[in-house]
Amino acid sequence: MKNYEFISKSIYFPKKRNLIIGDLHFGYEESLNRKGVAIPRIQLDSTIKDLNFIIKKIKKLDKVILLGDVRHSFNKISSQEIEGLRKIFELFKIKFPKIEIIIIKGNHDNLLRILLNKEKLDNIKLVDYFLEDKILFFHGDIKSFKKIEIVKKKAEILVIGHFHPSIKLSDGIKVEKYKCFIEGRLDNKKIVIVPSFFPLIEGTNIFENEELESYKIKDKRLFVISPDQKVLNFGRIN
Amino acid sequence: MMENMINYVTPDDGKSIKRILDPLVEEWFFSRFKDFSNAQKYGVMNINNRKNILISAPTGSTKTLTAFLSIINYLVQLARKEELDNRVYAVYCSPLKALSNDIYVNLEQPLEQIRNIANEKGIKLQEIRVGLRTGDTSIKERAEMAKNLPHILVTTPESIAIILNSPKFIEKLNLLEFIVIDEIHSLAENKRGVHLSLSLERLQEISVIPLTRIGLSATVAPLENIAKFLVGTERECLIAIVESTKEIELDVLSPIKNILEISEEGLNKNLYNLLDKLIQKNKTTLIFTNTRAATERLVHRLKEEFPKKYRDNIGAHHSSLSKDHRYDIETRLREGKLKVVVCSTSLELGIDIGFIDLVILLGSPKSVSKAIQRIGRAGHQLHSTPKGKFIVSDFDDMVECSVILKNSKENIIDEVHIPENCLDVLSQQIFGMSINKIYNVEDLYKIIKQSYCYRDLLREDFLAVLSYLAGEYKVQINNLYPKIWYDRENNTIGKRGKLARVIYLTNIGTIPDEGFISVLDRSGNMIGKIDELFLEKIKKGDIFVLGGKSYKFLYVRGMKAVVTPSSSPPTIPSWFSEILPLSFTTAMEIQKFRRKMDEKFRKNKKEAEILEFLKEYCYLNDSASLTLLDYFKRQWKYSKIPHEKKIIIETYRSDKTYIIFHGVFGRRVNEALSRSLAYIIASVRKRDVEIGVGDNGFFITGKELNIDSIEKGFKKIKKEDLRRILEESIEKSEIFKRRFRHCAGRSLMILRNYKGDKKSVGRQQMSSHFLLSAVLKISKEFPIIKETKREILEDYMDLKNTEKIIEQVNKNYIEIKKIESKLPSPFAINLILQSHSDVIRIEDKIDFIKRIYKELERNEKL
Repeated sequence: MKNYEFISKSIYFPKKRNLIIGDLHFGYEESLNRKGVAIPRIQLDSTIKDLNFIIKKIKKLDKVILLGDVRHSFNKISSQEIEGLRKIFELFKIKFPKIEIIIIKGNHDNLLRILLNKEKLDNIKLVDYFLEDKILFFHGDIKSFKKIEIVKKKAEILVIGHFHPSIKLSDGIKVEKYKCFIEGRLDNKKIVIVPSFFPLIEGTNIFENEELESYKIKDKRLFVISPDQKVLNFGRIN
Repeated sequence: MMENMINYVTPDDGKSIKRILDPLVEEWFFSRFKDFSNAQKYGVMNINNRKNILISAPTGSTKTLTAFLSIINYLVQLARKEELDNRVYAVYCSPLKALSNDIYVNLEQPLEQIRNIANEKGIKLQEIRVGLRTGDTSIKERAEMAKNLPHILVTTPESIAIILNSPKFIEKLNLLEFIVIDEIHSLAENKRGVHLSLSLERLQEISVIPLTRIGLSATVAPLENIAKFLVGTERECLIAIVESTKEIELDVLSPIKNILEISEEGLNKNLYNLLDKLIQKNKTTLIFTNTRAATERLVHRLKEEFPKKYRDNIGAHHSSLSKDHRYDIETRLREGKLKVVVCSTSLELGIDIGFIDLVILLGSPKSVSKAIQRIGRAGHQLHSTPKGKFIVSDFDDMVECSVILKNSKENIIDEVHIPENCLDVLSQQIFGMSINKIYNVEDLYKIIKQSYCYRDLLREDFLAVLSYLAGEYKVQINNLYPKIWYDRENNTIGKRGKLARVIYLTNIGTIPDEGFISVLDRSGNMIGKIDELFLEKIKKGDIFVLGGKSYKFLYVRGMKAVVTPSSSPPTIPSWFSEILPLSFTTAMEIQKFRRKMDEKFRKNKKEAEILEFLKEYCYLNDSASLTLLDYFKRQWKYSKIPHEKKIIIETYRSDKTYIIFHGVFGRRVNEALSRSLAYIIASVRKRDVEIGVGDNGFFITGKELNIDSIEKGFKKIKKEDLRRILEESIEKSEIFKRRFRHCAGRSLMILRNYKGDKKSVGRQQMSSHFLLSAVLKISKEFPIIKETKREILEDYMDLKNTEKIIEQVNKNYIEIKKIESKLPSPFAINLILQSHSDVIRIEDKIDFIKRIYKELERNEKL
């Protein structure tokens, strides 16, 4: 029996009323601008549209857990990031006024504490990992794996982001890329890898991701997200 | 009115030239030459009289000195009177950077020798300075140049654009009198030329003197258009056609008598033996191979096959080799130290390469003007008889080369296509202009419309570009963008941002960055190159076509892809081709030739008679005529011969159904025909359709295709709808993504260089991918999207001639015949093998995943 369900690119835990969101990478466009690309700003609008779709499907929600890499830039805080964070928090508060928001630190998230304090968003929890009901949420980069060593024993399920899993499907004529979830087993625990929430770019092909392969995850199952938000069970990977 | 402004000139007898020459120049000239050359008789007086002139002449006919003689004479006269100022009098612009030797011979050496004569005679002469400025000129040299200005500035189109935004230089260009554009034909046909045409108008805007414009061109057609390109609208231009005095000895050779009855390796062996024989018979040989990979391969194999004959006396020359290597080869070639040089296409233009007695074209040069230009590299001295040999690799190549040979002899020259109204280049130039000063929008529009390439520029397109640059498309928000301000109240535009000048200087140009990956076989032999981006599409085990052969992809090592030959059909379409498309003019001549051959067979002519016809019509030797006869006979017996009045649709089934359209229209037209048809079929079936495109036709392939509905679909395409259908059909294509990156780069939406950061092709593509999906969400009318479509339809494809073909089909001037065949007909074989292909996408991502998912479910149940 599964104690969670996939809703579009997110995971919902009905028992604990938790919603899990993958990497957001706010400020991506601004960082491109800084490198000399005249990119229009549509990341925020698309993110909110996708979140709205998910919120509509949920009746009860106590916690939102962001799996890290909320920011894209490694340095310099941009106005786009601040606006992004504010908007999505408001979005959840309107429908679920008592909602708790937990951000798990990702490898892109230095300076995040300062940003939250400065913007008086200090009611938001910022943590290295979050353990609840034998489910351990953390970002998924090498450093975060080290940080969870002490609590790992208590967990039965690991939920991570970071890898931006996606898959190339081909019928021999053309190739298309889709975001996907991966379920599998790692050190006798179940692991779920959540795709990035970031719109427009699908992510990294799971078969070409050396970092991911180095973990030797067993019994991988694939859940592919169709652009109409349906999640399709593609079964075991051979 | 325009038509009257172009006039053809007759040559002078040389007497009046003598009359105008300064005694010093005259003495120098006749110390070096017996008499004025033909080109000089046409050009010198007219340039002296400040007439705009386009001089069309074969290579090696002293064109360059023709352009310079009047200018040198004028400057010497001034120098004698001590009236030479510290400013630029003439700009000479060439597409090539590596010019130093030519400039030395045609400019610096004459000036030096004239100075010596003056010294001997005790005549005081001011120094006449020549300055070379290209992308390779150092900062120190440039600073020196800004102080002591060259009287004659030698440069490239890109460097002109830079000079136009250097305040110190601009002041000294306000009395510019002459501009010489060398190899103008090679610029006019692409966006470098479009860019240059605007730079010329900017130069004219700066100079208070009406510029005397001098264009030097190889043999191309129509010359009127090149002349108009040179002078812009509402200015007069003379055209001088300098006939070639060279008799070129031309021949088509095949390595073996019967191309079919021998293995690939056997064919190669024969080819190397034939090449060796020809090389040994001559003093110096230049070989053109069309591609970089073939160049490398040939040099390698000649050294391997004949280790004693070819060692240090053979050289490779192509654009991927280092500048130093190329320079070394050019120098040694000129000095006569090389027996043979193999190049891709890189030695086609300009620079003096010394005396060559034989030029070999390995494979079709794809157009008559390219053939003439390449063969023209032989001799290069007015009295020697150059030889040109076409060596063919298959039957179609033989047909092509034979018709090209005929047309070269009969002077049936290909039409040059000059791109027009390019909005990306326009964006870049307007950005540059705005940095210099504030423009009234109306004045700006007028200046731009003086360029031939923008004479028909629509007001709405012009204003859309201003809106883009001014950031009115919500594309740009933070302080870097917008690039200009646009004051609608006062109707003016101007520069915005402190970095504008730096951004302009480090990002101008029209040639996109490309990343290529070498493809090797397991023993490390070079097979060819594929686009870096193609590598993203390809999986281990995929089979793709490269250079007409199938390969299975194994793995990537470093920056190299390793493959192994395969006999299975391709599993992934390859959408690249290094080889130029066949020109439409030549293609139509082949169609005509096919019709003539068809008539012979229809009328049951005897073989001997057909052979006679071949020898006479194509100037062929006995053996080549026999090969051609054999090829057409096979097609006639097995199937039908398609030609200019008959398109044949051939159906052939293997694991897939191939519906093959036989029509030699060249790849640019076939690309448009196949995509529009495939789009219509795909829309009806709601499934993607795969296409293959070649110079001799195209095919549509897939499962469950119905030939009758495809024929109906083809006949349904109307001339008026073609543009719309094509625009829709390319929206999701690979070519669109690729060309968008190029256009986004040229219009400075993606800056290749920014704040010391240089973007790799991969990074540019990433940005471009993201940018494209974002821009499409905002507006499909965005000028750079519009330009991407225009570039694909008009430059990459050939919309205009495709419309002509469609019209002829609609009016039944071209009939359509259907045939079924068990095996591909002789004409179809290469078409299937050598086509490069693409997918016409109609099925969206949702339907695609649903279908794949269903197939998966079905398989699980089995």
